[in-house]
Amino acid sequence: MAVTEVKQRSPRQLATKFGLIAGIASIYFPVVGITERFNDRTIVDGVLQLGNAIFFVIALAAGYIVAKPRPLPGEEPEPPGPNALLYGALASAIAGLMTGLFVLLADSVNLRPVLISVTGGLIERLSYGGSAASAVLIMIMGGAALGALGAGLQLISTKLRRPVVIALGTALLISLTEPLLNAILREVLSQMGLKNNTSWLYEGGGLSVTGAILVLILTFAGMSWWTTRGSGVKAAYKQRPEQQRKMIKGGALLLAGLFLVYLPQILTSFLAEILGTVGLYILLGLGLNIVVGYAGLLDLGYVAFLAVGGYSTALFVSERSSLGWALPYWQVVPLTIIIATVIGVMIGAPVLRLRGDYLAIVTLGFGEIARVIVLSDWAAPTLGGAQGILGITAPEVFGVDLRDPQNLYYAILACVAIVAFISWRLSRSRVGRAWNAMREDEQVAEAMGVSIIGYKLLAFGTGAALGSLSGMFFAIKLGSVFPSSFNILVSINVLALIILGGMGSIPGVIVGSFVLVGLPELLREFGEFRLLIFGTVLVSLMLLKPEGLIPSRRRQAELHIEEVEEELFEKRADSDGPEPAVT
Amino acid sequence: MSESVQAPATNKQTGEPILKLVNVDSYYGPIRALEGVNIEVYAGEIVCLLGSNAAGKTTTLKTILGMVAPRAGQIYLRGKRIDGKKTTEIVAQKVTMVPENRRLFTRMSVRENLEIGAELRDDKEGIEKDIRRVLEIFPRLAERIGQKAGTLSGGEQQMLAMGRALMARPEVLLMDEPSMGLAPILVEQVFETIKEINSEGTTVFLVEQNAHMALEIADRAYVLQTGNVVLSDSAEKLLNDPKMQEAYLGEVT
Ligand SMILES: Nc1ncnc2c1ncn2[C@@H]1O[C@H](COP(=O)(O)OP(=O)(O)O)[C@@H](O)[C@H]1O
Ligand SMILES: [Mg+2]
Repeated sequence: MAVTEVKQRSPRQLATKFGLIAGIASIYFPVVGITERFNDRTIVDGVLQLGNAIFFVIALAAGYIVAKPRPLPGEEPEPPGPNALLYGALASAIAGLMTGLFVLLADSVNLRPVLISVTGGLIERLSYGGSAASAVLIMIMGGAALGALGAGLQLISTKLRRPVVIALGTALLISLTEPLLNAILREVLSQMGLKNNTSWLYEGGGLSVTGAILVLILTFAGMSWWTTRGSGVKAAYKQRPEQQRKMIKGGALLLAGLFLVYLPQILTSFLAEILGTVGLYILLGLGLNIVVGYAGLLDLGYVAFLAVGGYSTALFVSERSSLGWALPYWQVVPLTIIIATVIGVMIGAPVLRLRGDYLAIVTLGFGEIARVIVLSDWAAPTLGGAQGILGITAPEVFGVDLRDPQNLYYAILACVAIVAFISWRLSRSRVGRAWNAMREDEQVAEAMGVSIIGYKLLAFGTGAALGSLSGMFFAIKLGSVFPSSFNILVSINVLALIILGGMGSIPGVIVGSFVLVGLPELLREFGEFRLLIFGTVLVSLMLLKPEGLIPSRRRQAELHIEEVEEELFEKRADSDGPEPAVT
Repeated sequence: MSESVQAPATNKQTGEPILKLVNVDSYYGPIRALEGVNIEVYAGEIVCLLGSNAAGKTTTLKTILGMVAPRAGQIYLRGKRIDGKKTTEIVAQKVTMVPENRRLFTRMSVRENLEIGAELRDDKEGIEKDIRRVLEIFPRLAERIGQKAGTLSGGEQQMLAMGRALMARPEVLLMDEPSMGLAPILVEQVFETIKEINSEGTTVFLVEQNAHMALEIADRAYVLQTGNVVLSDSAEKLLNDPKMQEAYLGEVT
């Protein structure tokens, strides 16, 4: 076994260290303006605003982390004693002290020329009505209390801790998605013939006090039941015969599908619009998932195919396009898909020999080239340059008019269902297996007879075809296409949602799209900090759960197999011993 | 050092060789890894390629499979030129490799590894039958059919690597140091299996550093030194060759 030197810090050193980190974080948020902006958002009406909640979370987290047991390697973790409470309190008190001192400093010296967000109003609000000096005291005491509370979470048993943490998280989530959930709730209530008064749950843009208590208690109770009985339920499910399990799974899928079909009926048009956008990104994600997740080809220029789909649709559908004539949709759809596939294969062919980072850089270039070509003088007469192409009329499919946003949503939903099904079948087919082998070890796969060139081109082509499909919907949805819509951020967004959801996982793509595309639309306040939050969320996720939110079973194994391999290797080294070398 | 006309060293050398390398030179960029290599393998034989580290053994196998293109010389399979052909085309002609260090698809199951071995076949029933046959040869794999290949022990991994190659129903099996990193008892098992596979009609071209064990099962052997064939004879003669004993067999006897 490898001997690693472990630096053991005393609890006081730990408390100081995390206290300082938490202090810096607590000063950072108000300084960049997040606190003020986020305080427009209510978490619990009249009690807690989002900006302040950040302080609370930081203080709680500092205490929680400091109190965490740190056993030496090979030792059993010792449950933390009551001293842990003290050190937790110390850490967050230090953070409070730092924040308080900052308020004091900002109160006496005008920091605005350097830090534009540090306004008099901010200082006043951070002083919580009192003087800046009293703010220091409040923050130290508040910090200590919260830190101790956070540390207390380590003292209680896991059975209790998980429900508490999940209940707090759920309350936060339900509060943040108020615009969506409240609208749904009102509509459901009024359709059921009840008064659409939701103040028992929501008030002032966030949870009401009763709502908060309700959510906390219900989630806590539910989660406590699940932590004690959940494994039994799971085992019972596993013992069911295969057929029944399939039926349960199918039933759950059907319910989710019905919900998605019903959703636009109860949503405002703004929210339905967001759903449509999420659907487009799911389509894009499913397409790129084949290239990146299945075949392992890191493509950073995927937006090119969105552009191809969009422009091809615009060119052939719009009467105002440079062609001067229009084709019916039933011809445009296959034409677009064929064009995209051909371009996908054409782009794929020269990069066949490239791997990993080289491939990423080159495809990144291709993505930009697509935009530059559209903007160029050479293509402007055909593709309209910066003015784009207008006048894309939505089709009528089987008598359903897709100009209606609601119907368009259904069309996208149907398309997502079909594409998800195709992806799922592909992943289980012979092709999927060959892609897997190729991703793992290209050389050996080739030596087994896997045609690397063929399967790579197939992946690029399929990905391109699916990407153009969302481009088509994109053009129909907006009624026009502009080069500025097809920038590199789209490629990065799609890749990020795949990574977030879990590479190669179809449910992962769907959840990733909702989280990364849907949620930010709901949380408009976050607008200017969007990329900051984006980055933070991605980095933390990669640290905490590198396989993604809903990992495909295979990927989960990939990221954890090294541990198993290491173990085996050590075992083998112990038992087999090296061969006597023959020289 | 190569003799132009060889007297048959064993009675299996009849007719046309199934695999033949003639004056093959292979390069990695400017580095020459093989220099005028001549090797003949006859159907039904076990032929062994010996040599110390970096002698060019793996390069020889890669050159046969077209993963390294020879810069000079010819390679014949059943009398037809195969040098310059694509790897998949050569593999399709029933030449299969068990690569150095197993190189399994560690994140795929045992079963999927076997299925990939049959990538070039289309007969579903035949494939299923062959999976059962492989599992009969290696019963330990049968118990672990759904397990990820990366979680197998070293010996099991070597068995799977061989099983994967057998799934292609090869007529010529190229094996790159199958004994590497295995305990002596497992090495014996592996060599036993190679003999068995050979006795069922598969020609085996075996690369080894473990000269002694390899010569025990081989019909003939070649010795490679920095890209040159320096010795070639029947396994029996090589085992007793004083030059060989000094250079490769040491005092192991
Ligand atoms: N991919 C490669 N690129 C450059 N040189 C290589 C490569 N593979 C092997 N070589 C070199 O070619 C020579 C022969 O290597 P190899 O055939 O792997 O030897 P062996 O299998 O006998 O140990 C060595 O000097 C090695 O360093
Ligand atoms: Mg080698």
